[in-house]
Amino acid sequence: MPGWLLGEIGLWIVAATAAAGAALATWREAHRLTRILAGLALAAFAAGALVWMFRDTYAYYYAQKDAYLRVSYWGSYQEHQMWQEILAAFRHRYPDIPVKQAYITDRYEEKIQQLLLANDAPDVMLFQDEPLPRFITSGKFQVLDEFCKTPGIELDLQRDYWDTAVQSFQQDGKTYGIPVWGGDCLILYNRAAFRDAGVPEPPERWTTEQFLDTCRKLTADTDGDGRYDRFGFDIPGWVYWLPFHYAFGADYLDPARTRWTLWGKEAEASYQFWQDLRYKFHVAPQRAELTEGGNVAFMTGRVAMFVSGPWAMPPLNEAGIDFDIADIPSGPGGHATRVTWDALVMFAGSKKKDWAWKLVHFITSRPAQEIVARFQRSVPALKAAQDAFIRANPKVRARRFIDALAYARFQPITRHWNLMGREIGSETDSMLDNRQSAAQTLRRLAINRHLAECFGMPEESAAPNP
Amino acid sequence: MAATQTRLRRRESLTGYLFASPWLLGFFALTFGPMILSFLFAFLRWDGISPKTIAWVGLGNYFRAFRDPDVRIALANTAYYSFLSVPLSLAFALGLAVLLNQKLRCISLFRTIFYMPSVISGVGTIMMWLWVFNPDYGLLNGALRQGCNLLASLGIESARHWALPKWLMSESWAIPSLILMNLWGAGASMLIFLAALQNVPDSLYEAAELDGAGRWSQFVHVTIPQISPAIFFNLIMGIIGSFQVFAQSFLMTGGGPNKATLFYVLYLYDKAFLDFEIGYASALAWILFVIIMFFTLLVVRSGKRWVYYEGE
Repeated sequence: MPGWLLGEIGLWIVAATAAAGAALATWREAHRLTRILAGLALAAFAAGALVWMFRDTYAYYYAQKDAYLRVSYWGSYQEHQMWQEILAAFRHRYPDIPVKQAYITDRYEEKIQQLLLANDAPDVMLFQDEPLPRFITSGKFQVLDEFCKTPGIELDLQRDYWDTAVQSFQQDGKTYGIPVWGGDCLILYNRAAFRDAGVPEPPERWTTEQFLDTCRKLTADTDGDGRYDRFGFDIPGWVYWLPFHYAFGADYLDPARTRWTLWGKEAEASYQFWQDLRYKFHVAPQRAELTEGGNVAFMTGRVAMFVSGPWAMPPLNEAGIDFDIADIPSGPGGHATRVTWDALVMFAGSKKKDWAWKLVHFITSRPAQEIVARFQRSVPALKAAQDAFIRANPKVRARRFIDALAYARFQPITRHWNLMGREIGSETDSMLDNRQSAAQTLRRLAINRHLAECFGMPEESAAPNP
Repeated sequence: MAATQTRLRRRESLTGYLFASPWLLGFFALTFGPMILSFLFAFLRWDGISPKTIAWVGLGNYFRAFRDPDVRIALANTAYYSFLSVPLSLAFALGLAVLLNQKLRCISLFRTIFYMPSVISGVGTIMMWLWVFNPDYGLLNGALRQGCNLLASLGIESARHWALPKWLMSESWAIPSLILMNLWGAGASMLIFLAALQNVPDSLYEAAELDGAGRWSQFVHVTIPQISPAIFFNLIMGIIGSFQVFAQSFLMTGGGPNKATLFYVLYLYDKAFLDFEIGYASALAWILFVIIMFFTLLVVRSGKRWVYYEGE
């Protein structure tokens, strides 16, 4: 019999005895000592009741929690299915390691933050590259370099994984996460929309001019009611615009990611093109013209192209959409795109680090990476799984996501990523609603107080307000 | 004798505290405790993850708040929302209560219908209003579009091309949209007004009528003073609630477009849980506490002039 249960029974015996004493005291209207006893009885009774109420919770969270290895992740239902499959394979490989999964469907980072604060975080956590710098400073993520050398379950990150994937989770020469999957952003296009419009599919390589020409041909009022029924392109938010931004030769931060560099003719050309697609050329819907969400619009053919990564493919595959992948058009800055990765990190306070490493090693090794490839959730971080990724859906040229890794660039990730995203998002919202020009947007961002506190201002911003 | 009375009084207080103890326990553990902690956090810089990152900044977080342009934006948005939504909600709830205080057939059914929005879950309501405000296929613009078509068919041809509001997607319409939505949940205040209206003695109306007072005069000089405690209560609760407005912008607009619905509590939340600045967010919370306290005390003090209590 567990100790806590014995304690509970003892407490209830004390409570019952004391309650009887209390009843006696009330009956006799007795003196202080009996009233104290009555009070104690009540307190013991209340304590017993609390134990009774919370014993299951206690048993679940404290008595049993150390018996399991816990792993947390987020994602769609399809991704959850993929995790089920991966963990089933892990259980088959390591039947003596019980794993519990925490599928956190919403506000993942906030929940992980709370769990880290309570020192009750899962042993292994799926983590994105963007929030990582903010979490690393807490010292609650295990440095994994030594684990990579564990005999029999070692990992050679430099040789076997994509460079950008490995570098995304390293800081000051230390590895905080083992990359699992990720990818770059390209253009997904609805082949049916192209066929309906009689427009040839995008070529292997194309320029922004060719892209604009294709968008113009695709945009049409098919029922003659004066409103466009099909748009060439759905303009994205600032993160998904990064591939175009890079193609125009612009960037947000310097290579050291300490100084704001969103200034000059390249940045202005990028922002101007972004705005013009909507207002000058009208090949992208305005906000009120497309309220059903980009994915739905793409599936129904209301927009023919949008920017996304391989993670956009599973729902499109499931819905049976006839789509394919095209490169980001090249501009003055050449051929470019952005890359982003997810990794598994280990909680530094984990009591089962040897188990945790076995799980990390398993998920980032070939059997599990081929499951990832089959779902086409993202590009597997392990290079050896790329063929499985390409073969998963032969109708779509998924190889393009692999090829693009050769020239894909990092995002401007710093510990101020969220704040930066909010400030850029807010200003570019105004621009994309045609309330301010591209030049004004750049100027306002350059003098933005929050950004200036984090990154300083470019010297050029001293120029008169455009 | 006196000793027995004291003993009895003490026993009565003890019994009272015992009965209140579950609430007291919850209050101290879940409200008062965090309040004290947040007061202390306001003097720190902390990422909210590890105690290792704690640094003492004294009043730095408060000084920072006074310099922060987003605090000014958030305060302006919150004030705009509060100063419009509180009086409008009060007027709307009072108007409804007056209508539902009539002696009509099926009045209980109407009362239930108008109160119902208050018992529907906030998130459910928000999802519904997202559809209502959708500029493309939402109910509001659908109705307005039909109205424009009607006007066009009556000869005002330009009505067909009138630009309809983009509601939550427009900087200028976003807060008015949320205020409009807030009116829909006026059922709780309405119920309090209804109860107050039903307690106004008929004799006062009869006396007023004998003095020659019309309907409007009766409403202004009899009804309003008689229900002033209910107005007072709803006003204070409305001010507190409106300054704490959060869920609507959090779920519907995310503070946009272009910070047009960045309310104070949403900004505080962003700072605490997105930027991991627990100390700064705590300082913001205490500034909000002072602001709400100021307006509440203002109303309480002014209440002496316009709130009428029967017992006084």
